[in-house]
Amino acid sequence: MSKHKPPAARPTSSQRRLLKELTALATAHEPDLRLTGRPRTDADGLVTIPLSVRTDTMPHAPGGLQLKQSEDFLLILPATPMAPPQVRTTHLRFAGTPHVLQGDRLCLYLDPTREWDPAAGITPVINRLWQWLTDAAAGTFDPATALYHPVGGVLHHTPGTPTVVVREPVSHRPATAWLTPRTTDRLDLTNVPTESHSHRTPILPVDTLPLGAGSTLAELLTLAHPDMAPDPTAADTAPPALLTALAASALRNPEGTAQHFVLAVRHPATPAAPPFLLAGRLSPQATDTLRRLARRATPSRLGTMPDDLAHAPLAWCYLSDERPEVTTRRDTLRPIRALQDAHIHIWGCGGIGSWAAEMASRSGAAHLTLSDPGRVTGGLLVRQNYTEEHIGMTKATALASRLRSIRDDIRIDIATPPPNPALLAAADEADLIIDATVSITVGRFLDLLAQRPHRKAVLAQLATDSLTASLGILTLAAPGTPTPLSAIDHTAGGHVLDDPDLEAYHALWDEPVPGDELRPTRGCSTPTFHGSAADLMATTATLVNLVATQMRHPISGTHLCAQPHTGTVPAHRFIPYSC
Amino acid sequence: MHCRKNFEAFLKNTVNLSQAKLALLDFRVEAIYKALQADAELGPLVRGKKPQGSWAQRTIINPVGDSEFDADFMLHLTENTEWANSPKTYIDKVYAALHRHSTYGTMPHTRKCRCVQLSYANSMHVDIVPYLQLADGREVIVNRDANTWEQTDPAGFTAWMQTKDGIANSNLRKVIRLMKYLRNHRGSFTGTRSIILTTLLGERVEEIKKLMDPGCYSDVPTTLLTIVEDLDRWLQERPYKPSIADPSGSGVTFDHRWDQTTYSYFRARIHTHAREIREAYDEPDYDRSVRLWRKLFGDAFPDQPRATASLTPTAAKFATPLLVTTTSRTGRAG
Repeated sequence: MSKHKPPAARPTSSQRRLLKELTALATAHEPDLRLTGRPRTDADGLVTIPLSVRTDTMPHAPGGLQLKQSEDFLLILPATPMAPPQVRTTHLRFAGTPHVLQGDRLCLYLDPTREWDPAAGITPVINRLWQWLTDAAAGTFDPATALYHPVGGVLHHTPGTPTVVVREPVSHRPATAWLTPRTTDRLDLTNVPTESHSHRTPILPVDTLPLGAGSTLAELLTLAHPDMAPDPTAADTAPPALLTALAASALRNPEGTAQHFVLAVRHPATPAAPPFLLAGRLSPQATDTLRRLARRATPSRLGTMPDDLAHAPLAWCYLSDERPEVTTRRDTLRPIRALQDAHIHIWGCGGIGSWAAEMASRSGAAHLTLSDPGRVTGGLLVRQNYTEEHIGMTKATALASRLRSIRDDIRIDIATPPPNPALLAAADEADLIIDATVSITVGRFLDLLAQRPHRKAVLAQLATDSLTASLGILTLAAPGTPTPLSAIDHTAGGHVLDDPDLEAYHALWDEPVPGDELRPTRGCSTPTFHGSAADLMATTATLVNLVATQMRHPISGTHLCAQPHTGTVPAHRFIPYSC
Repeated sequence: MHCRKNFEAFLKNTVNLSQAKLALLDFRVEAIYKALQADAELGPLVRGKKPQGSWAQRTIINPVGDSEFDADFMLHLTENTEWANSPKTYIDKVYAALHRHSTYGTMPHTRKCRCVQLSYANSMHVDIVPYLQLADGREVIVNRDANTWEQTDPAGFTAWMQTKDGIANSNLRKVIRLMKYLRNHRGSFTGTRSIILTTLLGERVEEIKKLMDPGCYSDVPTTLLTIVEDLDRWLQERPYKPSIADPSGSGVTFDHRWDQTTYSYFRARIHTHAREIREAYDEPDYDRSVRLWRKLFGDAFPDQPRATASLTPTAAKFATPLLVTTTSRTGRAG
């Protein structure tokens, strides 16, 4: 019986096309680009081709990467054109340079989904490699913003692991923190235990890890402590802090549980900056082995460690690093920023109020006071931000629950609805009061608030049209102006109704014509209005942005707005109020 | 000005066939259908009924003065192979069944080209259109004059209408009613049959139009302006009568239902109306705008009481001091 060799893997058509283009490119640009070997296809279908780039013409700046006259690389072509090619070095000389992952992998694409065009061919890839070398030699990579971390990149993620959320400051020195499962997909790292089942987790400062942190405990110890070689003759050497801390934590956590750890990796270029964090996990079996070992003595050398522990695979958790010192809010230049840290009353938690509250919550408002005695019913879910879980709850309670699920740190109170006299003080204490009730009574109450002598709050009434929920109206009373909102609205109404250019907005002052409103159930049900969640969310967003725009320099008046899909012209008009 | 509210009132109070008349139609068609079902000879062939024409498409309007209003319904019959060579037999049999009936036999009833017409004393008649699904799958009605089948696709036409009306935010049907009102009550473009008018107006409604100009079908007057101007442009490019295909895709055309003279008249009238509608729509002064709309639609076009900002329009009986708010509901929601 003869043995047949498995057929050699062959390049795919896309790989063949790229190879053909590469050959043509090298021929046209020799000696700047040379192919130094034949392509090789491995069992995973990757095609690797060695190439050399002439770099002696690239200007070198102090601090830039030292290059030889020419540099050798391996270009790796994935089997599918949907993923970009990779470039690796055949050495570790570039390790520690920005945009070098795990010592030998050049990061040519920061965001492949936006940067990789499968139809563009090989030339842009080679151009990127050329540009990478030029920038590296010139020292133009900014370590603070480049895709460069002291751990040699961001490839430390094991599928299936939970995400570790870090919001509290992390010590630059060895410390013990606590991990608490919040969901099956989330672990929160805190400096003190928050639950009885919070687990001890060592935070271990380590030096830069230009080659990464490895995939086994042995690799991690070797990469973090290059002197941690397996030397059986030095069995009594003190164990490294990392291993000691891991063992100490494991001993204090329950038997049979995985031991997590956090590496706080120093940045070589900015050592005083907050460390980069990596969260890893040793399996429960390996942790139990470590526990048994630690009860006698922590091994000081890899050689003294049982193989099943030394080679135990590490799982790397995705880490959501939300520490204020390393996180930048993406909305800091947007109008909504005006609501940050504010105390906002939102009266009426329906189509407008529920979305406004959500936007205020996400904007960073510190304190919301909600009021709406109405109940959540199933029919509301098509346009308000409630969920099946909220049906039967009062709207204010349901909304508070939703907002707390959006942010841990927000304070939310529920107030009895206006005209509760207790709310009179709100005008003096809050930064903003939003009335989204379309209630005449509440409007009258706001008129009273407007005349409070020491009013601090900006008063705003938000509403949409009852037919489509695509038009918006914002009536705003600035502090220091005692004019009632009803008067501002009345004046604007006169202006609008007299202006034929604003005919589309007349409906906001008119009684609804028959058929404009919807009776969602048969009989004498309260008329409600048409409009989808998309309409309401969009209209509310526009109105909230307009409120936020005015928060810093409020001027009393009325804003009208319309969503683009209505085709209403003008889509926005401000009618300032003048006494 | 758009005068949206005026249009809503005009449609509701003047143009639309009243709910009472629609209910009467329903009642009478049901009664006729039951009588035909009960007929010893025709009854076994009767399989069902469905509204047809403007009644089915909800484009039916009030008749002029004391004129009759009518409704068509299709009487779904089983094919009788013995009558295969004489389709008009179906009309004859329906006629005979009515003739035999104790009530309908005494009422005026007559055979038309495609239906049997039953007339009521109070300005109304019902057209009963025999409709069959032949063994070969064709859906047909009868042409009695030619003694032939005419292919039809009522479900296809309804689907087409629903699609077009959906694109126009449910304003197409209202515009068709307004245009039929212009024809019937204002004597404009007489001679153009409803099916052709409906098809020409409906074919002008396009999704791409809405993407280019999102507000073009936003309310009734705007939809009227958009469709009529688009129709005018289309007609002006065609001096000679174009072929009008059944939009249901049945394969038939409506070409035989008008001639070059009728077409030229229609083309000229639409050209005028497009200008008149634009003039009334663009007129910024409310009173002048209403006058221009009235010039087009007649004095029945209402002059709505104008809203005054946040003042109650409902407290007519008991005078109250002017309040800077309203006790009636505004068109606002929160």
